[in-house]
Amino acid sequence: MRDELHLMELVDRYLDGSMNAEERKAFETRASANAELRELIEDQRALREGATRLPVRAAAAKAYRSYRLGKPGPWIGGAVIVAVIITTAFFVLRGTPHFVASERSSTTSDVIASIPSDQVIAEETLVPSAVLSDTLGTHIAPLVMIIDPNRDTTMLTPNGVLLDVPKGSFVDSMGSTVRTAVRITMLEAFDAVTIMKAGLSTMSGDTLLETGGMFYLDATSQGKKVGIATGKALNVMVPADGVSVDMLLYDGAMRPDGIIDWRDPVALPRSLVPVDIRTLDFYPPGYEAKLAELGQNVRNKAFTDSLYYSLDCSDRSRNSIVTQEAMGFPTPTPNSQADTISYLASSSQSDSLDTTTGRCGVDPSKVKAIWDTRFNHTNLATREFEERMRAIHGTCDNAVLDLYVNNLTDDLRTIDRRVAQMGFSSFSEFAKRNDGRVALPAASAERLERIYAEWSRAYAEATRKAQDTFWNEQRKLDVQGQQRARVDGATEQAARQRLLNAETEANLRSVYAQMGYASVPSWVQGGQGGNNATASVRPITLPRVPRSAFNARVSSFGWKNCDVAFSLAYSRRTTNMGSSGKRATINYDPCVVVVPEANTYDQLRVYLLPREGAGYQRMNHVAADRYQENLNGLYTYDVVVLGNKDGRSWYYEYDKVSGLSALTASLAPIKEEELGKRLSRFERTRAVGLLETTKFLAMAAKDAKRQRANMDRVRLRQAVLPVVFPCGKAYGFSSEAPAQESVGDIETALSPQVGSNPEFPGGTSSLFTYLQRNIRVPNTNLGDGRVVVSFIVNIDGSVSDITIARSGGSACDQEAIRVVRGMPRWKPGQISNRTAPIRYNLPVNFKWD
Amino acid sequence: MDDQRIIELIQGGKDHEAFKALYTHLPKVERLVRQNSGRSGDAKDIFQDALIIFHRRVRSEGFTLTSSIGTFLFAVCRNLWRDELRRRNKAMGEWKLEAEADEPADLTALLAREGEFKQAELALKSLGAKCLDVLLRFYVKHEPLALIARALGFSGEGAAKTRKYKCLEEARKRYRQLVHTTVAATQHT
Repeated sequence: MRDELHLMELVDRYLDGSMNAEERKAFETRASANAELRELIEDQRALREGATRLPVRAAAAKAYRSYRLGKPGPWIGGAVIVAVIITTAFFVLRGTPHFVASERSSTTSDVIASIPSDQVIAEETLVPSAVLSDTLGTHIAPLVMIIDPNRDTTMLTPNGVLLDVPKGSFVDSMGSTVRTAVRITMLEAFDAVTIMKAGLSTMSGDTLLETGGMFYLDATSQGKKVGIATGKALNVMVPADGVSVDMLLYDGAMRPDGIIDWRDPVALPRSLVPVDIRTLDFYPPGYEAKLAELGQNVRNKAFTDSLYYSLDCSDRSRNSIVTQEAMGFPTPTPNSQADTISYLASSSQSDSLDTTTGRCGVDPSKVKAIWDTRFNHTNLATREFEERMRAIHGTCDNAVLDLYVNNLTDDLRTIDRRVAQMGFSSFSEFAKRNDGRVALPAASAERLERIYAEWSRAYAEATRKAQDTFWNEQRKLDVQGQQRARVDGATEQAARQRLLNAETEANLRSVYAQMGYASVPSWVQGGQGGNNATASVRPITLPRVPRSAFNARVSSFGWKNCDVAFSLAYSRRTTNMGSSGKRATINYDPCVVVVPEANTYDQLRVYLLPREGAGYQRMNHVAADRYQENLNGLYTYDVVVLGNKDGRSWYYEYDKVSGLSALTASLAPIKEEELGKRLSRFERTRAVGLLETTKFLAMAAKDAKRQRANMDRVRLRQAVLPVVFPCGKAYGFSSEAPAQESVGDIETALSPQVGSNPEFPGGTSSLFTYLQRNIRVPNTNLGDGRVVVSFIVNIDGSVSDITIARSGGSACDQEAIRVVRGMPRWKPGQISNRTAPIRYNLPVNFKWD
Repeated sequence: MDDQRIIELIQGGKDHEAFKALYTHLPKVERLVRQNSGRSGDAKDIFQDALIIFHRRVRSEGFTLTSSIGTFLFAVCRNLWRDELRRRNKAMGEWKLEAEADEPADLTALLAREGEFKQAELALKSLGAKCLDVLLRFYVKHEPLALIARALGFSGEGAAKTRKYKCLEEARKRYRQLVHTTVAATQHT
């Protein structure tokens, strides 16, 4: 570089004639041997001459104007606006120019095709100088088009410049709208040579400019110049090789010396490149990441869409979680593949959340309305808008999205500024990017606006309706399931009651027999007629005594052992009884049934059917695959195992089991009629009961799957809600487990406003961890599992007066009490700044899974 | 205004006044151009070129007026317009020649590099105002570098000099581009 400059300096000195003879000779010798140097000399000579001529030419031009001034003429050489697009480095357009907006073939040509051919006349001829005084000498052939100013007109020049003229754009010198045909003249200079030949400067100050092209626009009507109406603008789309940032639009004014002075640069909007809107991501930021974190398949757009669109601010599906968990059915593992309809949240439960403000997040229905190919070739179908969409989600304000969608013919930067003015200052950063718009005819924009309004409303309505339908149906199914469970529970209870009655009688007979009483009063006669009494038990007759009186009075007659015997069937413990030297023993010995892979069954029950007694009873589920019960030594039992797995009934039976035995049940699938046959060997009530139970188990297994799916839905929705509605926290959405919301239900009667509540060490979350770690879910429970334990936290933090405020079934109640009793000391609560005993209601929900 | 007065004005640097007077010769050229497929705007353009060429001739060493200025200008314009028409690829047959007898003998030499000089002008004009200013101050007004530096706000003589050559280099680049495309166009036709 330095060498080059040095050489040019030498050439200058040579041309100046400031070299001495010796230098000169040496230089000429050098030049004669160097073609490049000779070329440089000639170029420099020409440039020096050119430089000398410039002021002379300016003088000539000025003199011409003075000369013209003396003559009458229709115009005076004033400054005509020439626009040029310039940036900050020189570059030459290469190859065939293509539109920045690559969709020219689809959208633009449509527009052009729609213009009647008689409206656009392109003449590639020189026009009279009267029209183009300031473009003379540029040697650029002007394009002349005559258009009807009462219509929107779009024109495409041979160089690919798209000129969009909205109707009513022109005004005459009086400021009234021009109605007559308008002649538009346009000159284009888009390559460096044309620009230079036209004598157009491409520098601003001492800065070299990279020109994206220059164009000249002028319009006349009936031979008179027209202006552009205030508030209107012609849209000129200039083809470019690439989208350069910081493009500026300069106004050019011809200076008296003929050099165009570029001034008043205006930031030129970057044109937007529309892409297929379906390739863009309009989800709230982090939505897909959250789903991925939850192990969902984010590639399945049908799924991610249906989930997202089904959410709304008022999502209350979480409320149904209590119902779900309370059902008490075992729940199988998640099946995450979702169908569309199932991801619909319930909204029938009214709540205080105001969805109309939309301040919890952007309404997915609105996003659904725009995330559609209908909005292709608009501002929305651009990477630039995609970025804004992320920020729009951050504003949680539907109005911001509305603004972008309802102003599709505006530059994005214009809307950015308006949003910034709304108080979302971060959007001024977007405004700085100077993003323009995708050309869109006003009529299309209006149509899309209507589509947006109507479809977003329709989607919201449809979502709400579908949610209601779905969750109402689910609730109906829940109720049905609960009813069936109650019926089944009643059947089982009845069978057990029959067994207890029979067993009590048997025990009684045995006690009488062992004690040497000859006969037992036959007060149970008839009801137990069907039992398989064996020959070894003598028929005895007991006096007819009302059962209620039996417990209360028999002992006073010295029969006090009898009530012990009566309760044995409940306590199931071997008991020795003695009175006045006479002794009696009822033996109860444990029996264990092991069901291999018990956890693979959706439903599993092990029943004991005493051959000598009536009814049946369920064995206790004591461990994962172990069922245990103490068997009455007086009886021989048959074991029946009913299971349900893979939608099929499984069955196992074992005959003649007695205490102190263990057996392994290997179940096999069984058809209903086969099962009916097998069970028919039992007494009819038993057979019918067990058959009903089998049917119930099949239903329950199926229903548990449904509930599980619902649970998954609810959990999934819970997890994504804070992401989708980032401002929803104020309304109670939190990323914590939903169940926690029910914690800390302080009984107000004992906890006045002033003060603080007692607190579990480490807070509520610790309390939950404690409960989760310590609670053992009972295997059998007749109840819904929703327990509310009430207790008083004393001033020393100890817990007392533990009661059940709401029963969820005795087994669950007992477990809840056990765990509460074992809690560490609490931080006591305060009333009026004094530590005080405060009653605390703790809900404990049992789940089976 | 007689020819001698005009020459004195030009030599005295009063181009504007001289040119204003010389435009009285324009209508004749306009007629010529109009009669030969041109428009009055074209006439104005080539007439200005002719003025510049005349100006150079007056300012050059050993200038003597061999014919009337009007004759000289008209002869130059005729030549230029012929070249222009050739450039526009018009048939030579349409060219209505008037008497060429009074054509100055050195006209061919004078116009030899006319095309290149015009391209040089265009290349320079396409530079920005400040670049052009530096070059004009240096090559036309012959201002010393120190003065240029002060006038245009450069840090010093060195900076002004570097800037001058940078601008010249850019001008040369553009000039070559123009000449190259012109040559290519000529070869093509």
